[in-house]
Amino acid sequence: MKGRDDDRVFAALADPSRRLLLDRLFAENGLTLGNLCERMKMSRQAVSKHLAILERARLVTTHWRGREKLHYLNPVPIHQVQARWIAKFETDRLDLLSDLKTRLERKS
Amino acid sequence: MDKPTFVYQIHIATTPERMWEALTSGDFLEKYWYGRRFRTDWIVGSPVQTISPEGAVDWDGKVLRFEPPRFLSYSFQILGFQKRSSRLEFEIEPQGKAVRLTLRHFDIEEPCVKGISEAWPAFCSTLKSLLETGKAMELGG
Repeated sequence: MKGRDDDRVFAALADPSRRLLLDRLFAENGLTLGNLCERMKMSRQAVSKHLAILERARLVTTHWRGREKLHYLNPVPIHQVQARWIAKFETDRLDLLSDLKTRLERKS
Repeated sequence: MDKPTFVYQIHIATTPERMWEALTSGDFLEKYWYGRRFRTDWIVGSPVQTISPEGAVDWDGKVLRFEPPRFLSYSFQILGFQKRSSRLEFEIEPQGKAVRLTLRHFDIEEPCVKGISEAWPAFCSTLKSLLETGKAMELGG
């Protein structure tokens, strides 16, 4: 069960379109399928297919608001990947490195 | 109808009753929330407060729903930091031999969104670790 869950997470993350959908939800959580299709160069069918894979991997959770299905980024499986390989004492230094990378790579 | 700011989900190999106990009994919460003790009788309408290790009330809210072992909801406000309270919902659903916990957080003030969004995934992971292995996870951050 555990191994299969991990496989689903990594398989779901292996696709650039699906990572883009997660980026979109990271920027703005709780979007409908329609919202997600805007600004994506993908057909509604493709977005919907990718969302189903992300949902199965539990990287996306949904919430019904009346008849609207809202999609949320669920970072819990990613947190578990992090907790598996990143030790407690490394977090601060890794944050520092990420910040440095962001700063140096920022287009000025 | 309002829209949650966050929705988190985790599957844990445990029973709804043990999950419920972890979410409502002092021991897990105290371990997770840095030694804060929860003070409440869990009656709908009653206050939910946390007491800091120094003995002060630092979070204050109200029990909104208490339906063991399925649905728990309460509001809370971090005193001296948040201007108004936000609302939490915990929904527990059996899924075969496991349990699915859905955590929804509504109405979070903008300055608190970042901190809260970092806290819950860690909360979910350590809850899983505690219920599945009996140990709380050592978390960074």
